[in-house]
Amino acid sequence: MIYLIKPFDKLISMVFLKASAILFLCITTAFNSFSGQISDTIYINSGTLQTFNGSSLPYKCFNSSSVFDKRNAILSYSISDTVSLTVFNNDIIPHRISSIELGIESGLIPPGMNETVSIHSATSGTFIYHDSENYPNNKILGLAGMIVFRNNSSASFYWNLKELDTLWINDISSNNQLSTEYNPKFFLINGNHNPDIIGDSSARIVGNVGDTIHIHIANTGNSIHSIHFHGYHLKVEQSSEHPGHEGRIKDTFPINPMEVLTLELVPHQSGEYPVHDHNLIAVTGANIYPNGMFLTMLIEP
Amino acid sequence: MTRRILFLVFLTGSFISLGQQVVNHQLIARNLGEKEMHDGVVLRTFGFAQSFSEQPPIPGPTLYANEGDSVVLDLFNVSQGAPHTIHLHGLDVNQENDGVPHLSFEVHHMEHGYYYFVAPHPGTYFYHCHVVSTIHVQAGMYGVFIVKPADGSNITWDGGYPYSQEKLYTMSEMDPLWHEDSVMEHDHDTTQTIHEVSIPEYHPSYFLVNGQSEQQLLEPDIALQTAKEEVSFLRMANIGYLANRVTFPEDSMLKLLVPTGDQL
Repeated sequence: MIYLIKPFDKLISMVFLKASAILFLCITTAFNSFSGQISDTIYINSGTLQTFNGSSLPYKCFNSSSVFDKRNAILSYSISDTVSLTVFNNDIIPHRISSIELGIESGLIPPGMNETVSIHSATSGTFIYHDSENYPNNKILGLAGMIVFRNNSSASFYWNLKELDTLWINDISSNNQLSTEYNPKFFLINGNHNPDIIGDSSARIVGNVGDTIHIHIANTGNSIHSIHFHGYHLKVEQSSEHPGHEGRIKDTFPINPMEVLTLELVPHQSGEYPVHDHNLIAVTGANIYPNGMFLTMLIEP
Repeated sequence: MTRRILFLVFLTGSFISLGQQVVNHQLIARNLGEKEMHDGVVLRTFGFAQSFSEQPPIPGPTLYANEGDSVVLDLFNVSQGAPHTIHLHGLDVNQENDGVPHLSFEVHHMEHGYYYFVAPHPGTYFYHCHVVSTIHVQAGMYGVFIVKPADGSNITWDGGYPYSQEKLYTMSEMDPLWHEDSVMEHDHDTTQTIHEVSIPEYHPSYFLVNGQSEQQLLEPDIALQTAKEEVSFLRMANIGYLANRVTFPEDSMLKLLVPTGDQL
């Protein structure tokens, strides 16, 4: 048994999660209220990702502070913002920051240096940013996150999907040739797996019946994922690979590597419902079930 | 007493006038199924049967209801093993009937569990066990639930496309290692609702359509046989762990109607 919450603890955790979600939204809203020309800073940090079974993996992320965090920064802006984003490279090898859809391609950022790029989007939506240097190796080592440009103040949640092949990560980190086929063993949302992902207030959907909720999903991994929602159908607001799918109402959403989706959920019923990858290998971790890309949403009356 | 009878008659009359029915389905959960593969290998399976005399088929029986029907699903677990549930995938049932063990309920050996819901929009939906789902789905505990229009006619949905026949293709895979007792007899501590289970790496060697592969797919009931200009409704469902790309004959005239969800 790896996840069992007693009823009282569960109640406390629900209250805490909802408060955290509201705080997160307040911060996001407050941040976005300063529309126009704004500045932001992220840091390329190198560190160690600890897996639940005790493995340590070399890992790199774009973080909002100079302290390594296994979660890549979620950059959320208003549609009217033009962002001057400065990227500090705290790593010992050079990197870049790029976004194909947003037309960003920085110069090479040597270790200890920084570079500033200007970001603007004429349309709202979810976008991937990543390190294009030594692509895709640095991305496989962790360097890929999401930028969201919003045109509303609805509740929003963010999922950066990524799977880890420990052999590949160790080979790339050691500058070795890849010696095996891609065979990921860990399946993460925002750097977390079940059950830890439930504690991520930016990921766990908490709301009320009738709310308009947006879910921003970026697949920065190398595998196709197929996200299934229990209890609800959602509308595709944005699909970077299949714009023709926008407007469709579905319960399961395949998403290809480096694809983004923006989904709209308006819950019609209350309850706690799972949302998970329906490639059921991805709800395991290191061959242990349950793990991986599985969390629950909490919708209150 | 008379008033009560009159009230019941009134209620019955109301339901009939709305065209609603109560549809009952029973699924018997079994853990000791056997399935012969195209190469003669026999694999142990879990599955859902509709009688005690049959091997649980893979996929499980296709269940039907019409839009607006009140559906009662009786899950009878005679597995002599792990608990089971039925998750009604895509049917947006409420939490109690969602079939997720720690959020709904699970059905133990020699117990019945009942699921209630009103059949929503016409479409093609999955049902499957959600207990240690990675193993139980691979083991064979899945099937398709079809909701037809309220009048049960051969039309995709009210105001949709009429057709003369329909065909269902359910795709899946099987990895023989996953069907060994060491995997299928996973822990199922009845005092816990979530079980930590170790599973092997997934390397399927059987790729199935309606539970059949290779020469088994030449059986006449598998092929979609249609006349020129005849309109057929093809339902396709993939419960495997791999993505498939399906190729049709070049001169087929197909139109995608419903991509995993409501109508376009």
